[in-house]
Amino acid sequence: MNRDQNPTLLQVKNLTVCFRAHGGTILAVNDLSFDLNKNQILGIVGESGSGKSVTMQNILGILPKNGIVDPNSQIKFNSSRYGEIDLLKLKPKEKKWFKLRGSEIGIIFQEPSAVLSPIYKIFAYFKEVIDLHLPGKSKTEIEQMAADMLAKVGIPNPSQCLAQYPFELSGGMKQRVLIALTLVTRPKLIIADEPTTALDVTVQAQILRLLKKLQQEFELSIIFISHNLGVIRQIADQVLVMYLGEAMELGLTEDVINRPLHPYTSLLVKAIPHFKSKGNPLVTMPGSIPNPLERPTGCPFHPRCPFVLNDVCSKQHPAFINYENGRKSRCFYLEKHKSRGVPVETHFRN
Amino acid sequence: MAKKNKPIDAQKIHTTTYWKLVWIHFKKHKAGKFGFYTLLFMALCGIFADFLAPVHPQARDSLAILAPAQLPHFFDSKGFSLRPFVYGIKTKRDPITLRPIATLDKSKRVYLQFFSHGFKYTLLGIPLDVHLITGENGQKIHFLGTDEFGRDLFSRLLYATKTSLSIGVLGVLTAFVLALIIGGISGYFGGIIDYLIQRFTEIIRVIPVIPLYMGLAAAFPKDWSSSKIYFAITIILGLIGWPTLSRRIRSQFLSLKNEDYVLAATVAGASSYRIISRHLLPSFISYIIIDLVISFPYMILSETALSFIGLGLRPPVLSWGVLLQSAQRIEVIVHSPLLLFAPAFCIFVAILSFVIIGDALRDAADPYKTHY
Amino acid sequence: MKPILEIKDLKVYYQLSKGFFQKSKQTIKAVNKVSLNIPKGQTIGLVGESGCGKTTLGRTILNLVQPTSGQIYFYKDQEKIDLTSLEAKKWKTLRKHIQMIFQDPYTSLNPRMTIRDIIAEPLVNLKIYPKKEINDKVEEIATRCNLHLSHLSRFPHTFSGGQRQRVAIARALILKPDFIVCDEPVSALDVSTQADILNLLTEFKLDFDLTYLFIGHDLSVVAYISDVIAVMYKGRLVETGPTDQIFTTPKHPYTQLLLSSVPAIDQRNLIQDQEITIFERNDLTLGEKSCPFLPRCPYGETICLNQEPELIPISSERFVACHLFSSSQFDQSTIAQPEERPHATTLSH
Repeated sequence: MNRDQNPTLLQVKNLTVCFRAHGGTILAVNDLSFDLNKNQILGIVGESGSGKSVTMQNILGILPKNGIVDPNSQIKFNSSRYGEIDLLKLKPKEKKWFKLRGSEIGIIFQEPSAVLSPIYKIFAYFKEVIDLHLPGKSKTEIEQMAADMLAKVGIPNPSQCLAQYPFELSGGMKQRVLIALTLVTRPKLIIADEPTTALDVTVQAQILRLLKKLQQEFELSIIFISHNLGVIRQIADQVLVMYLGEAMELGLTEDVINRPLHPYTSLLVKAIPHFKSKGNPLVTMPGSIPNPLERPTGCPFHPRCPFVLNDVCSKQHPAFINYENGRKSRCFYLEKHKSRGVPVETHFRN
Repeated sequence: MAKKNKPIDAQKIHTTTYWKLVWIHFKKHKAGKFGFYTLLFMALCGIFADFLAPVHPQARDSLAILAPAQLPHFFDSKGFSLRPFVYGIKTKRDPITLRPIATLDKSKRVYLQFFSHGFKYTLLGIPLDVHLITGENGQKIHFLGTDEFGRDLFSRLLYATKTSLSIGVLGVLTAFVLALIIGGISGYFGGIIDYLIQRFTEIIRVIPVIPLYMGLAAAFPKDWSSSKIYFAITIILGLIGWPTLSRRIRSQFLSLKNEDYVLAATVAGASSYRIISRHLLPSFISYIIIDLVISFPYMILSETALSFIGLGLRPPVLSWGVLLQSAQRIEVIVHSPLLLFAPAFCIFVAILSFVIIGDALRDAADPYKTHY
Repeated sequence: MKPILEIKDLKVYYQLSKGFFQKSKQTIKAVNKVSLNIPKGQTIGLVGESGCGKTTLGRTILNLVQPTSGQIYFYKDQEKIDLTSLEAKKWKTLRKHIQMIFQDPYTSLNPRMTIRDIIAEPLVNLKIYPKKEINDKVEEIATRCNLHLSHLSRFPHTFSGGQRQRVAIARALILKPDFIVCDEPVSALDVSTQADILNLLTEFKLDFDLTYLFIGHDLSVVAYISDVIAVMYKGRLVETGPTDQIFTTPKHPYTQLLLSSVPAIDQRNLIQDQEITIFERNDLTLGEKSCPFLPRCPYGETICLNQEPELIPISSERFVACHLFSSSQFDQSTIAQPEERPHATTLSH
């Protein structure tokens, strides 16, 4: 198949990552597999300990030193420079990373102030990125490219912005600058790790609108990580629900949220408050997220699951199975009832 | 990884107090442990100086002027001996300069006696005369040699350790008490009080230290007893040392004052006194202890410097500085360099130990870090 | 409905001094003339984005911040007490009636104290019960907050955010106060834990007959728990009213913007609008009396630049601070109804 016609941009296969810590080994990600196509936004949603950050660290090659990746894990990236490469096989300081990160793979972090040092003007950041990845441009060319991109992200006065320092900009504007910095090298894949969590809700709405528009214009693929299901609903085409390092459910966003195929997703959706449910107690998940050192046996969610099957869920580990419409779920209860002919989508309905 | 199989008593781990956690982390720091035990050893040497000294520190042995070190042996050309011994001293006169030269007499063995009788001393009011090691038949032995008056360096070093370390402790404590009051008031109340106190502190800090020392020390009346001078030096050290410490305490108070749990204590009806004692002090004590440990070396060096230039402690009081001061002569350096190097080495070891302990404590001082 | 707290023209201004010798000083108006009545037994939701002054307002009520001017009246039984001019000694007794739950469960508990000591602190400080009874009271409230008794001798660093927040709630409730300021109590928690804590707060409100001032930035959370919502923007109250009315018919342009920005979970309401340039009028210089929302407001007129809009009632329960409702400069007949205005996409859950 011609490389450019391959719709899959990123393939994560059986990703398993452990960390050595005081008191034992922590399984941060367990047998995670998902595909990301071109021109698609995949949302990854999960609470603390879900492993979403560690997954991202592996895709970017910034896993901490005490992390151990299983040798059978693969992350295949369809690079225009290197062809199809396995990102996990690259050593941490390998040269290929410096050509991939910031160029083909872009990153948008949560806190723009942590990325933009206050002692440099905005122009300096563009110069750095362009000199690194698109060398040989003159100062005027850089200014032009930067101003164009700043205008594309909605900054009203780009040339003025280039002359400003980061502390002169608001949080929303800084995040727009970061997005512009990421896009100036025309990446194919963008990892956005909670990019709107630190922003006010009105600014968040603007940034989400911006990202959607840019994704369409530049034909980007975005992995959008968030703990906020509402945000995921707005921006993601597909969503992957993670819990304790494992994929619980995968599917089209609207399907997963309105007709969940996993008890965890269903409870997660139900736990979100609405003004209309005022007066009624919120449905909560029993128990709490377990200590990573005390991982439950079998299905990681079984101690808190209202649909737990006592003989199976604590003893065996459910597989991530395909259902209709490209949906996947990891649940014994669902498997059991599907085979009895009960329609799949009625089980955990809200 | 080897500890994986030990069953974890959750309740026990979760109820350990802060200081226990710090101690557990501190123990893991190998250098810190080494520093700690070294200091402990030196302190014990100082405390039990009377018991450990084979000879009285002021006793002059006219038969051993600038004698070389008499190191203990177990065997030599004559064979093995279960009882350790040292070589005796013989003295000759140099025919040209008529200077007495003491050398080791390898033909003469002086055996060592343990827990034997020696010069008298009192311990906690009890008169005793037992010593760990002495020479047989009351013979004087000098492990590290003697000075130009025949005084035993080893014994003098033991007493000097006691004085130098205790002055360091007392000096730091004095500075700390002053700094706590001044810095605490400044940081807790803020506003104009803070402003005025800080300006005053800056004025004090600006005064150059050595002239200040010299001025203060020169002001001691000549007839003061050595113990009076001892305490006076301690107070001077404290008075010089408080500004730096008070700055640290003030900044701790300022930052802790606005912590949420302090505000929560106010909302829970706590009085100022309770907030300071129950909420502010415990948190900042851990940082301050590190500052205190780091301050010790400066105190010890200050006392050493003062005594070295002759303005601090004076003989017969013994400290490392005093020993260094007496060793400032050419014949000493040429013939008995140990008189200079032995106290210098002690200073070096003591300061290094404090610094290492300070480092280890700093690492251990935040035991709530989750190490994922 | 009887009020329990009455805030009248409260101002909290901070002076940023530029140095010992310079005259010019910048003033930050954290709370700028806020008046609010809180009826007994209700939950008032105070909502706004960062820098709107809601946390400052909450802390001023608790006397953690000194007001620049204005009054706060607290109604205890039949007595009307002016909190702003109360002496320090009398505040101690008042702590029995007014309490606070802080936002960050990781910094609001003293890490050197056991859970038991943290919860017992209010009782120990106010000396209400004899020493022997204190432990029983602590265990009683801890059990009600779903904390294990074995946890009481532990230290906070071993607990999760949700558990810590329960400890904070137990500490606030042990005195059985009448009024509690909840300063973003669930903002730092996971969604599943958040639901737990919200349920706990609702339960206690009914059991102990409490009144809450619930401060938050997440509109869905605030709306779920509040009977009345007050919207703040840059230190001013811009709109108040019953929750469902605010949500179905928001009047103030800022409220409309806020509501239309909330990412809904059941439909894609945010990204229909393709306009991505920041709408902000940079050419205006705002004066002391200008409406602070003017640069972002689609309806601004000259009057908005020169005259401060007052919070006025437009119905028995609705108050709005906007010239659209009070000024003749806006031709009432030609203004579109709120539901038809741009940005007025209402949320239908």
